[in-house]
Formats: sequence, structure tokens, C-alpha cells
Amino acid sequence: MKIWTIANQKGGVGKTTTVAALAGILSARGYRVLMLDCDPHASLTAYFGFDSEKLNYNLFDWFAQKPMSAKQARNTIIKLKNENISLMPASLSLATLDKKFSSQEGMGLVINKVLNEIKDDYDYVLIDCPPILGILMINALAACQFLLVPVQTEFLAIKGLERMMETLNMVIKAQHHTIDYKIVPTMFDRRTKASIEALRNMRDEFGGHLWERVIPVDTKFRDASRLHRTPSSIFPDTHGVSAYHKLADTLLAMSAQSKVA
Amino acid sequence: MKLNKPEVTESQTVLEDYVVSLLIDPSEKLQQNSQAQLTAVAKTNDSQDKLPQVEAITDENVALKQVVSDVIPLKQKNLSHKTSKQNKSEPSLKENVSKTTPHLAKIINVQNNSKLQSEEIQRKITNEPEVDDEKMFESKSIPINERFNKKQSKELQQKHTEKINQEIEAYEDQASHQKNFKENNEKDPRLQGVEKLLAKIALANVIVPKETDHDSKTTIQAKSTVEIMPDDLSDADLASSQASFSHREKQPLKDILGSVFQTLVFEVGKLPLAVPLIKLGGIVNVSEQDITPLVGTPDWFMGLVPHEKGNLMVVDTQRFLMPEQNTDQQQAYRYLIILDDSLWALACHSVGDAKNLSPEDIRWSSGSSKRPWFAGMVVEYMSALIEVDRLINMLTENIVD
Repeated sequence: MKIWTIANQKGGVGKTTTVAALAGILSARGYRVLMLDCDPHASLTAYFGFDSEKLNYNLFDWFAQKPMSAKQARNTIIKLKNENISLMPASLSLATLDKKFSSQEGMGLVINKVLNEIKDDYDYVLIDCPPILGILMINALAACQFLLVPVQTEFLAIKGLERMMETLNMVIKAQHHTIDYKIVPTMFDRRTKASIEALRNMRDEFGGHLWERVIPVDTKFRDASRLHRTPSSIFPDTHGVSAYHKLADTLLAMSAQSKVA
Repeated sequence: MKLNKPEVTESQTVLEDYVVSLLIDPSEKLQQNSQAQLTAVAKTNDSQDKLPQVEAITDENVALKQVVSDVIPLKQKNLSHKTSKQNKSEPSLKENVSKTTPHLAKIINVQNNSKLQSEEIQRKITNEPEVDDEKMFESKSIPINERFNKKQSKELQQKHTEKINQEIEAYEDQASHQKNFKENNEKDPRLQGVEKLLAKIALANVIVPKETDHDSKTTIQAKSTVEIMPDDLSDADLASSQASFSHREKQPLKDILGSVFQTLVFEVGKLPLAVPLIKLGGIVNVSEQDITPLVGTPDWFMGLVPHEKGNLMVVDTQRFLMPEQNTDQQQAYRYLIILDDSLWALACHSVGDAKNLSPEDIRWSSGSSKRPWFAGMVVEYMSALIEVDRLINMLTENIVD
């Protein structure tokens, strides 16, 4: 099982879209995919048409029920009807996690331990992170083998990236092992000077960690979310989906390399 | 453009400590703490591994004692009256012994060596050439010094025999001690539990206490006993009731909240209310059947709902905050919003999203005496931000009245 976390401490940079798009592409390529919604706003859960407050189980149960067995964990996961993808939904109650459990040691390893219980069930797990540093983000970073940081190609978004890198460094320092990451420029609009300038700045600053391509602005992403479907399954020929296919290629190649190493 | 490296601030250090504490694996910590126990059990296992050998030694010792008791008088006899027949039988006995009991053979070798040494001493004293036992036996007269030396040799021989017997007893003591230890070990369930526990630690990343495990059961029982101890319970009750009933300092939200804070929006009737997450104790899904009403309480007090924190005191929010509104056709409440660390819970009809806000997003109240609980209006969502501490004070004052 490979775990990829999609995180950025700035909201609205395309994290949920990236998770949905990559999940659809990986699933279409025959991989068994689980999406984990760690955001109390439950954007990913809502993306696929679920009302988080009406579901029997959500990610909060993983934290409330410790230790969680593989069987219990499987019961909490939803299998999507139209796609060969599974979803671990979020709920608003996740917002209270930091207040409830912050004094307990080891609360940053809950997701890692539960995923370890079901490691044979999935090939890829994609974690959609909340835009706030807390137990959920630490869990997502501690569990992952690879971090994907979508960054909107605009000046303020790049400034927000600083905080994300600081958080990543904290986790790396605490865990004593490094986490490989890629910064993915999103919502790139070649018609605007701001996008071009921001992309240039990103290249200067992050060089090797910056994905060499971009995810363009594409209104079809919004349409896909309205239809509660992954972009690749419903609009397979759009520029946006094509860009995500290339991103998936890069990530799979890196994943294969790390396996060989 | 180069991003500026921020200076390490105190808040960042606190944050780093927080991240570290979140990432400490309690099972690893437990594993480290159990290292001493692990070593102890490893020793126990070692001694268990050795026990079959010890048993063999014990058996050998019994045989040794038997054979030595047979051999020693024989050898003593040989010193003075050794016959050729006996002389022939001894090597065969030695062979049998060395085959069956190597330890015994070793001891006998030591005994023989000492015999040879004493004979050598004797020869040196008398300056006589080495003679066969047979020839010695054949000699008719034995000189006085020779007789003296023989006596000395016999004493030496007896000393060695005593030494061997002491060694045998020591072996027997050791063997019986180890056997007792093994038996005790087998009988003592605590040691078995420790072994099982440590085996789990060694094999698994996560320690999962199994109900079938006697020791784990004991631990769980012990833990639950600790949890329901009257002292602890009274402390928790005291803390909760203190948090619920003690008068809170009127520190306005405006002064507590940071530059960006999260706020939960929920609805009571058609009025959207908001509570900052730092003052949110929890959200509980509830039906009216779960609420136990209490006699002699105000009409806005719906009753109690059991919760892990204690019995939540449920407030009919609409009646309490908007008494002027008609509540006859009110829908059933679905959620409880727990206020801070108190047991007060506001009943509400629906819960919305948590919103990121900044103080500029609020139109702050000037401090009306009519609605002290009203901190201000969240302009974007047109919801009333609750001054949680003041509301708790109001509830406490009203319930006491």
C-alpha cells in the first residue's frame, strides 16, 4: 500500500480536486484506491454526494475507537457506487479532535496504525488534508510515503507554502525520517501575468521539488464535483484531466523508483 | 523572489513540541520501559532452556552417587588388595561411565589423577621406582614409611571422595533449585502473563490487549478500577461542576480570539448562531427521548443527558435566548453544542460548517445588558456569535435562582 498525502495549509488551492482526479485516474488504471477525507469541512465527502452528518461512520471513529481492528476499519469505509474507489468520510466532529486528544501522546499516529491494519486492501491511499495544522494534518503527514502540495499559481499562495514546509520539517524532525514531496502548480491560467510570474518564482524557490508541468484552470473540475464524479470518469478528454494523467505518470514512476531503491 | 526564512519564535517551539508529542508512539515507549522485563524473561527462558540439561545433570548425579558409592570402596580396596580381576573390571566400568555420564567420567578422572599424584608423591618420598599395584600386592613385607605414605594417600583419597560428594550435593541443590524455579515458573501465572505480554511487544507494533489473556485482563480490570475509584470520580465531578457553576471572568471573546479563528455555525429555529471552536466542548447527536427531564427546574432547562464528561445540562436554546418567540410549533432538537469545559449544552436543530474568520468579520456588540451572551454578528453568515463565558454565567445564575 502506498500512501500519498495531499496537503497545503492554505485553503482553496485544489487539494480535494487533486485527490478526486488522481483517485479516478489510478482507479481507471486498475489500482485499488482509498480516499481519506481528513478535513472537518468534509469537502471530499461532499464532493461525492454524501452528507457527512448523516453517515453512520466517519474518520472520527478511527480516533475514538482505539485500537481499531481491520474489520472495524473496513466497516467505516464507503465503497463508491459509480467508481471503483473507496472513501473514508469526514465529519464536523473532527474539528474537536485537537481539543479532545491533544494532551494524549501518540495521537499523530492513529491513521498510520489503522491503515496498517488494512494495508492489503488497497494499492493507493490518497489523504485529503485540512488546511490547518493540527492532529489531522500531523496524522496525514506521519502516515504518508509521499507528499503532494498543490499550490495555486499566485503570490499569496506561494507565501502560504512557507508554513506548509515548516510543518513538514517539524514532522520530519520528529519522525527522524524524510518525506519526499512534490509541489504541484494548480489553477494555472496562462492568460494572466500573475500566474506566469508566480510559476517563475516557484521554480526559483523550489527547483527540484516543483513538478515541471502545471494543472490548468478548468471549469470541468467544478462540473465534475457538481455531478459527484471523478473528473477523469466524466470528462476524460479535458485539459485538466490530461494534466492530472501526466501528474499520475510522474508519481507512479517515482513510486516505482522508490520501490526499487 | 526568495522566500524569507522566518525566525524561530516561542510559538513555533511550542508547536514543535506539540508535533513531537503527537508522534511519540506509546507502544514504542512501553517497549522501552519493558526492556528490563524483557531481559528478565530472556533470563527465565534461558534457564528454561537449560532445565532439561539440569534434569540430565540431576539424573547423572543420582547415577554418579550410586556409581561413586560403588566405585570408591572398590578403589579403596584396590589400594590395598587389588586383584587382577578387579583391575580388569575398572576400565570397563570407566568406559560405561564415560559413555553414559560424561560428567561422572570427568569426576572419576579427577579422582584418578589425584590418586596418581599421591602415588607419585609417595614414590618421590621413598625414592622407589614405579611399581605395579600387582607387584605391591605380591610383596610380603611393607616398610614403615611406605605404610605411612599409604595411610597419607588413603587420607588424600578420602578427602577427594568427600570433595566429590560435596560437588554432587552442590549439583543436586542447584538442580533441585532450578527444578523448583521451573515448577514455580510454570505455576506462577504472573510470569506467564509477563512472557505473553513481552512476546506481544516483541511481535506487534501495536499492543492489543486480548480479553483471553489473563494478565491483560488483570491490567484492564486494574485500569477500570482506577477509573471508577470514588476519589477520582469525585475529582472529575468536582472539576465538571466547578467548570459548570463557577462564575467566569468576563473576558470578552474579542480579546481572546486570534487574528484568524474558526467558528462553528449552528441553527436554532431560524436563527443562525456561532460559537468559536476554542470555546466548543463538543457536539452530541441527540433525540428528545435521550433527555431526562428534572422536576422543579425552569422551563428552558430540558433535562440531563448522560455523556462521558458527566450529565450534560441541556438548555432549550430557543426558550432561553429568545423567550419572546413562540415555541409551540418548535421542531425537535437534534444536536447539543457543549459550551467550553462546562456541562452546559445548547440544544440546536442543525449544525453547519466551521468557518475561518478574522475579528474584522464580526460586527462586535457594544455590550448590551439586554443580551449579554451576544458577542457580535458574523456579517458574512448573519449569525450571532455567542459570548460563551457570559452565557455560562447567565445559565448558572438562572438555574440557581
